[in-house]
Amino acid sequence: MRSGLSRTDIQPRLRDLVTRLYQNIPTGIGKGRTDLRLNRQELSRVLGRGAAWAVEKGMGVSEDLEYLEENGCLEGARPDLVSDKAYQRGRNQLGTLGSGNHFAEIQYVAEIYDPTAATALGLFSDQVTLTLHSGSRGLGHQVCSDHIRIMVEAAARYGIELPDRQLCCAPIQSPEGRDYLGAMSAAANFAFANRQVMTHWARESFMQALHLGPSQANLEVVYDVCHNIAKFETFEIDGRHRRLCIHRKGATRAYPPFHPETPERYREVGQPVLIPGDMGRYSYVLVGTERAYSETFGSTCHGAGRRLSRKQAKKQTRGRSLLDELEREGVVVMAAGMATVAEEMPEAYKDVAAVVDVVEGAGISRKVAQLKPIGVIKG
Amino acid sequence: MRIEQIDEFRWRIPRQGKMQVEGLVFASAEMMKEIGQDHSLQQVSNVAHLPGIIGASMAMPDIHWGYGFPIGGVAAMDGKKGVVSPGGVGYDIN
Repeated sequence: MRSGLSRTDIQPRLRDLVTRLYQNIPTGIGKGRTDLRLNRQELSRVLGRGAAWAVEKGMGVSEDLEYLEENGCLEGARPDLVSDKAYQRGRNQLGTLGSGNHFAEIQYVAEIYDPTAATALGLFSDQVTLTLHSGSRGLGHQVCSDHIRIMVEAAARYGIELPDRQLCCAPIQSPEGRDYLGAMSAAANFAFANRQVMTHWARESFMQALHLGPSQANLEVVYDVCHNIAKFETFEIDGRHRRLCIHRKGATRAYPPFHPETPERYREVGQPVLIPGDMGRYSYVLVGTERAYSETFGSTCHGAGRRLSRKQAKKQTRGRSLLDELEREGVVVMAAGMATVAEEMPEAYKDVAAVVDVVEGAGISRKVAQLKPIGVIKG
Repeated sequence: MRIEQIDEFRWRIPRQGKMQVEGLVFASAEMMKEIGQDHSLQQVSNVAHLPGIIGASMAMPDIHWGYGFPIGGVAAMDGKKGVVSPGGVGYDIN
């Protein structure tokens, strides 16, 4: 999200702002807010409608939906194919960040590489931005577990030869394939709704901490992209339109300028791509390119990638005060668990700048801006 | 496994055995030294075996080992004749 604020506007109240975010957005593995409890029927609606569900409940504005991949709702979602166990796990988790690599981060625009694209994306130097990184939580995890079990058996039954059992799969047109796509799309819709709810609470946090009205904080969605998804997309290959099922796992869609699904506002520059780095260094805003469309089915990287395992990272932080270290670097961090902060410390990640330079060098994305973190909440 | 450099940022895993398509990895020469120490390049080649895969089994520079498919992997499947795999999406859906 972009705001109408500059870094100097929020610096004096930064700690209050991080505290408000931390109070308003539940983090860690625990439950969500008591004012957002869903019964099964309501949760089923979330799974069918995605982010639009939240907007209809007053969490966000309809304009937000224009800037979400697939407008925040995958067609073909089948809430009825999501298991009871997955419903159970998702029941109290809507509007929660989770743990692991999920985060909400307040940043500022530190560098602009492409002024024209930055203007189209509404970004300017020193501007305050906010990035949310979270997904379908326990509900999606359960959907994946449920269907891996089914697919191992299905792959054998359909006589699909696999070099590794973990590649278990089923024909897209088979009952098992369709059931997985339906349930997975429902989980994806939960993730869209989850971020939409947190977007709303992030806006409230800004207003509360900075004593601003909605138009003054002016937090607008730049874009929302998936990065663990399989969905149908149409590509022109050798002059023929083909409907393909694109699997992106830790990869982001990066559609070019003038693609019908690129929002009107970004038509001439391409679809925005958000590449989170670690919480000490920087993240990037990129745009998709024609070359990505023709070569990688409109895909690019997702993030930095780990350099140290979680275990190694924890070992290296023994005896250190990470929160103080980060604060000296100008980043205020609040987290539900210190173990997560240790696992997620900056040195645990590769330098995302090197990753972004490769995708730009290869021509499958273009750099627009670099964002630096100043406030982070984590699970 | 054979890996050929295509240009500064592209590497090819040529088709061998029952691979349906080749592998295509986006990385710098320096990254390639680290990539694959965790068998993620083998995973790129494994994914290339799946029925109905189109183009190439691809990997982005942040590739690392994941369940079945590498994290940082992209695979396009024919909408009619292809397969869908939960490992190609992962546990953290969306």
